[in-house]
Amino acid sequence: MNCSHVEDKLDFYLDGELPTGRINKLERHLEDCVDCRKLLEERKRLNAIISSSDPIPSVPDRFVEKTVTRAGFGAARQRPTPLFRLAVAASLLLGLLVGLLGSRQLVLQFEQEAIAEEETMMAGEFFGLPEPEDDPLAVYYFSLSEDNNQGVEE
Amino acid sequence: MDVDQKLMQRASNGDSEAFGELIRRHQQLAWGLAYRLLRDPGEAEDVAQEAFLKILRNADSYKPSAQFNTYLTRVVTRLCYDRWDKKKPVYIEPAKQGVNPSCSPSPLDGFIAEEETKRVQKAIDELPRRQKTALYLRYYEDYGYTEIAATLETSEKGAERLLARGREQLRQKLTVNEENNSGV
Repeated sequence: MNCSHVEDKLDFYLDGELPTGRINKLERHLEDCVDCRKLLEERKRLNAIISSSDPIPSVPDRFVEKTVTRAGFGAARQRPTPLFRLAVAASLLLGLLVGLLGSRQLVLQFEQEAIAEEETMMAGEFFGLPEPEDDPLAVYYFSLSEDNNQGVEE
Repeated sequence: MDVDQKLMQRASNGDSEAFGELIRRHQQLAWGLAYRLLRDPGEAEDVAQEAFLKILRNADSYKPSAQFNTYLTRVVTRLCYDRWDKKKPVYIEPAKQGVNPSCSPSPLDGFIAEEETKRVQKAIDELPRRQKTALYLRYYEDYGYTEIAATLETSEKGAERLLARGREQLRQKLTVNEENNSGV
């Protein structure tokens, strides 16, 4: 391994990403080469500077609580379990069946009422009018007719 | 099934406590990466929250081909890139919180360290975004090449190249800065 190879591989070496076989070769070269050892120390120094150069503030207060709140947990966030989903589906199906049966019953009832009304109308031309004896005007009219008839007979 | 997968499953079934626990376990990673990429605390918090919400929304289709960490990092990175496309990040002073005072034995040493920190941070921030992300993941999250590749949706060779180019540019920038500072 020559100096150029070592220079290329120094960062991998310091990152712990160099394969074991190459580590041995590189370390043998470093033992014999002052320039490469100097370069290694420079790289180590740079790494140390970078590592310690960027302290960050601590995580903002109540970060966890704020994020959980923002997620909208609660009734709206709750995801139904498979059993709950099955129960909801069954309820909907039952509701649909009841609705269908109910509407069928209603249709039958309308049909029966319509038939009954039609039969009543067919039974008499004056369906819906009161009987003559219950109608004061009709009673009066018939009494006049009877008077007239009596006059004619006399 | 690991802990994160179990928490994901429970969260997707409406368990808010499981979702909270999942966030608690990974909030530092999501927030830290979003902050480094955007350099805006408000935007970073919004993105980190959005990443968890997005993961929750897609929990049904989550297939754990990689660690949850890697998945989260990928979502955060994408969201940051989206924001980035809309707005260029503004360089702000490095955060002072979290700095160990024992690292600054004297006021002068503290000043030098702070200046160096600013210089390095600025140099990284000026790198192309994928190189920058690769470096952040390597140096601050201790990600290996495989995880970086999975996050950035590239091959391991691609991740290696991103890191190599990022480091090379960083060395050049820092060397130029050092020369300028020393009056050369």
